[in-house]
Amino acid sequence: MKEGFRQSMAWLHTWSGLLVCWILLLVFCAGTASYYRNEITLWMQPELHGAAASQASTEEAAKVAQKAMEERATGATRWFISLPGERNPAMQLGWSKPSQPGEKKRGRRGNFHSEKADPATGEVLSKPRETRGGEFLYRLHFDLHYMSAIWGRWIVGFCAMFMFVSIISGIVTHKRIFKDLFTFRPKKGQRSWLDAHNVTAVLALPYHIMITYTGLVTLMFLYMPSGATAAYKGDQDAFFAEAFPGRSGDSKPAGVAAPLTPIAPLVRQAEQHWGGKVERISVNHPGDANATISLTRAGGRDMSSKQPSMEFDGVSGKLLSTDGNAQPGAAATQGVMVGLHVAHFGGPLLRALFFLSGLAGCAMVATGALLWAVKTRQKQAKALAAGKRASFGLRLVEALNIGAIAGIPIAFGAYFWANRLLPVALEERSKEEIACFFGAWALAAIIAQLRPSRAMWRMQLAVGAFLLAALPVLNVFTTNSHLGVTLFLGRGPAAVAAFDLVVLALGLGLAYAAFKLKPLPVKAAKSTPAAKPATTMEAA
Amino acid sequence: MELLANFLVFALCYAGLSSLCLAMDRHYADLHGRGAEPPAPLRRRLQRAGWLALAAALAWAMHIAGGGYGLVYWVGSLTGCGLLLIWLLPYAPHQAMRLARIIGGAAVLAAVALAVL
Repeated sequence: MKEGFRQSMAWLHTWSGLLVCWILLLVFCAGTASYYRNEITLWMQPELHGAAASQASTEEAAKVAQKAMEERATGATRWFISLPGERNPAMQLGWSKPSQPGEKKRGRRGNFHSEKADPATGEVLSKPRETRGGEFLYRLHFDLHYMSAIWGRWIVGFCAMFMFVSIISGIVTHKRIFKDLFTFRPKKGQRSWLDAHNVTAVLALPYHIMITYTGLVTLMFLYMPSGATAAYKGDQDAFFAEAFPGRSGDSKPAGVAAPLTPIAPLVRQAEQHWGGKVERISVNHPGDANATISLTRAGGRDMSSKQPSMEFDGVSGKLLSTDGNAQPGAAATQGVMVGLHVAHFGGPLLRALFFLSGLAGCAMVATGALLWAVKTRQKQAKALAAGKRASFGLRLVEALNIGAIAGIPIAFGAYFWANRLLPVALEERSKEEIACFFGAWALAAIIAQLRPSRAMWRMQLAVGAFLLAALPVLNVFTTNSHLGVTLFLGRGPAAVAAFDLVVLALGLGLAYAAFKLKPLPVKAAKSTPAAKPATTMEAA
Repeated sequence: MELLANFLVFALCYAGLSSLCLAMDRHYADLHGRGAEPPAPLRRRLQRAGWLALAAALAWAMHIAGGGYGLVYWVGSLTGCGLLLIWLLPYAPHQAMRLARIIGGAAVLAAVALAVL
């Protein structure tokens, strides 16, 4: 090797990062938003904002749910009840009816019925508008879209692996990691971009390493199945049965009718045992002598994503088994890793810190991509000054940068605007919303390819800024739970108010970035993206 | 009460980071003019105080949130406070350091209040 170790690492860092940065930016943005996917979904269903105010205890809710199920879900073989919690105000009732002979074994969703109900009365809530809400963003960040989930996961896994390589080689390359820890020098062109890239990377480094590594771990059985395949001789079902012990969902009904024991006392018993709330109830063969009831604890107490559960006899109410009190080491480790990634634990404060670190991650990816363009333009400065055109690669990267960094906020904005403006009764409404997301993004990316210039940056950043910052205003005209109600009258759900404030702040950040890109005096037409890094830190 | 307990973590982190930052030549010069270097005793004091504050923040975070959580919480608040500090430094270095002094004092008050109450 002729070059030094550090140079080769710098080379690796540059190219492993650049190659995947645009997809990574999408994954980071959607993933960061997913920390608040319940809140986003709630925001996107204004019909539920009213019910969000009423708060019933889990025990009362269980009682109401059982009554509602006995009336409405006659003949069902399984019940699924999600009790209201801190982050989902309504109660979810679901049941499946026996599948008809001739249907596929793994039950199509056709005979599964699900509805949202008021936890205090059990009444079905007026059907909220059809939307995938935050769930779409969550899925987007590892399944992508418009392709099979497996393909998406392979692509995202590939990018995540590159990201991991990029992080490690970046640490090696960064000579002055401690000396420059607090260094940020704005208004110095390339220097500033490098500083911003370093700061957002180093300060949130534990987060970046954790999120990339645990992200790979969540899907490790897809990426690296050989170990399990070898140990279990290819019997995947046996492996998953041992790795993720499920409820005994396959017990046979006795065929003898017997009334179901009241669930509410069991909820109290389980909550006393755990010292935490019950979140999910599932009942096998309700109304049968072999009925079983299993209760699962709500997340948020342990770091692990696996929650303990208890199983009861459905007729006598006797405790049959408790699961998850003590997990084997490997399963517990995997659980903690997945838990760290999704951050369902911890209160709002910890989640906000994760969100902030996620934003830093977006900024890191964005500044990295910009840095390449700025550097390359610098290298071609002589040729450019002589009137030559930028190289194909530089032009492509600059256009992709606009399409991704300025385009993704536009896509997010379009998604939320579509949620408010599309007719509520529209056929396949949730698909249309997603089409708006990708349509707006594709438009932004294509226009950027046509003319990747400073004016294009300014224009697209301004559009993104408008779309996000105007959402609270749009709310005033399209819902009854706008900031005036949620914040100033202190009525509506806090999550909705917080959503409005966050998009407002992000929009203002983008607007500031656009403002900073005001046209240069003709003489000093230097590098294209010369906005101050600090602005893009917020903007991204 | 909970608010105060959480505030203490952030306050200690911000004060600690600022103190460590001020002990570095470049950032000391940001405040006291080009070429200024902190005298050796001051530098040592700043570094000692900075590390002490960060260690105290970690210990306190682990105390209020439990071992695992506390660590995650501490790392997260370091990221948050660090970003704030670095953002303020180039634009308003004096205000950043004044904020550090105020917040350091507030941390002491908060600690006393938490001990008494």
